[in-house]
Amino acid sequence: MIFAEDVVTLSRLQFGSTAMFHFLFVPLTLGLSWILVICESMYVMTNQQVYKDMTRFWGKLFGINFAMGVTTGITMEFQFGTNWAYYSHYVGDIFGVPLAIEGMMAFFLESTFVGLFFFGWDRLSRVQHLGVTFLVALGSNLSALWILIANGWMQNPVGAEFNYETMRMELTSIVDVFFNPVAQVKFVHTVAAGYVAASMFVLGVSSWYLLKARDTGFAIRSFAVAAGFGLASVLSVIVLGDESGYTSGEVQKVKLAAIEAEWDTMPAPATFTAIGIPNQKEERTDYAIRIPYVLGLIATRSVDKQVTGLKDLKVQYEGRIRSGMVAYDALQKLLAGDKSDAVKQQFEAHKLDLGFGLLLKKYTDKVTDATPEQIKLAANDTIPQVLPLFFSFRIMVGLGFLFLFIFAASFYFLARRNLAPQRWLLKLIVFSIPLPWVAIELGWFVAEYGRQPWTISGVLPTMLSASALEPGQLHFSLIGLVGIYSALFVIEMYLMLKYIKLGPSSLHTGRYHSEKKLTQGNQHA
Amino acid sequence: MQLPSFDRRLALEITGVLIVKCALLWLAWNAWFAHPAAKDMNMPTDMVRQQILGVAASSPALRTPGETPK
Repeated sequence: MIFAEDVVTLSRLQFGSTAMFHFLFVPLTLGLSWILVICESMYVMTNQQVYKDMTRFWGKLFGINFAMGVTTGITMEFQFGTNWAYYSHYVGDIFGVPLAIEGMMAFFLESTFVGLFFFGWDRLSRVQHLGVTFLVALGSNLSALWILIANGWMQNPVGAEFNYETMRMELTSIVDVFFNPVAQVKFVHTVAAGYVAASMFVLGVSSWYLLKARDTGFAIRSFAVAAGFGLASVLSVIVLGDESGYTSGEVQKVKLAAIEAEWDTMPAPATFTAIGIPNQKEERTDYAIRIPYVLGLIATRSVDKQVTGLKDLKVQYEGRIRSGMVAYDALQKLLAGDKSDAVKQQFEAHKLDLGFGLLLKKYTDKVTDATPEQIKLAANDTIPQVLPLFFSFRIMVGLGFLFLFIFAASFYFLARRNLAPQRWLLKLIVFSIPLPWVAIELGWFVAEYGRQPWTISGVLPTMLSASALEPGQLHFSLIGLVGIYSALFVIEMYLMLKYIKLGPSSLHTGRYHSEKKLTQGNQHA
Repeated sequence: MQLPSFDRRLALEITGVLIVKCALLWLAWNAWFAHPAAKDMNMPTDMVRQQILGVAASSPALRTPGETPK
């Protein structure tokens, strides 16, 4: 093997672990901000103090999470220039736009209004303060929008064209980049997942107070807000996840087929493999339990369209690799100074497959002379590892349906005013608090691991994106970053648990659990 | 502005954490990321050509140690 996979693997590991740490903080910020808007709206409409207390208490936990999470994403930007230099150059013209907008607009909007949220209670009118809270929520969600536009472009690179003079992708349509269907679906699916995580968090903490029979008025109202918001959000996540599957079926056929362990193209409508053990070597799924029609309906929204299997996709990609070899040959001639019309036409006709030709560089420097065996090996590389995708996706979906059950049951028993006896449900909710994070991280894993072997789908292979670094450098920075993020996570947990245990008593209104106990204790004394 | 005593404590805790975090991130940047090969998401075009098309790519990242181009 020509490529030092160490550097590429270590760079991927570093970026992946940083992104996953960063995304421990993000979902709560995305969802809790809207829960604050709901609580404060109730306060403005009803003028009941408990809703103000709810806004302030959950706002306190939001503040801790925001402070811990803010700037944790910046190390990913550090890594672009240092660990992923070729990638950065190749896509900088497109990728830089949404990242810059995110940095300037959403981040500053968010941070400014977070400050006003905390320090504006006595200086702003109730409606003005609600407006501030709304802008906090809008700002954090806009941040996610720009990031997901950038990420969506990596999955489906629209609105850009390769310029061989500058050796980079250049923007041709900002509108296409912004309205990229993959980015739009990713955005709504991701933020809705954040709403589910925040709802589960509020529901879980409230359940804990209810189990302990403390601050029940406060807890039951918080529970009600979280159950309603969570039920709406989890339904959105499921519907939008289905939309995401459909979009993948349109533009990311390999990812979809890999997630579903769809080795062969089956007659329409394709069956869905509910469970089984994908066997990549033999290209089959052992012990598969299949449900007729379901995959065809999800992926094509029809009963007569096929879902292309991995084996057929590999054959298609062999053709694209051969086409990419022609593009590569033309590019070499162009860069050597042969700008004849014939060469230009040759390049134009095949340039969309240049990325596929570049996959051969793992096996040979002389791409244009690649052997059929090398082409086959490169075509094999276009298929990501199926087993981890298959199981990650199924665990994520299974958790999604568990959340649906939890929110629906919570809503039902609350509406029937019969929640208190359902201690099994309250305990289940408390234990389920971390599960949305598990589902979200698995979702990201499916999205990004399923994109392999590309950093930009069909355009730039991952192996050509990494910088020329020594593995030792990456080991040090990887250990350092994991250490920093682990410390932040431990501090977040410590502060969160501390203020959750104190509950609304930490607001010092004199109306809640610990303070009452203290007052009673003083009276007895 | 007067904050209730517990808010003041939380504000102090968060401020402390933010300062330490910024210091750690600055150290991380200084130690590992201060000299990016692609400054402002740009590299010398020749280097990119070499990476993408180079017959004898010189980048150590592209080869396993001791291996020579075929």
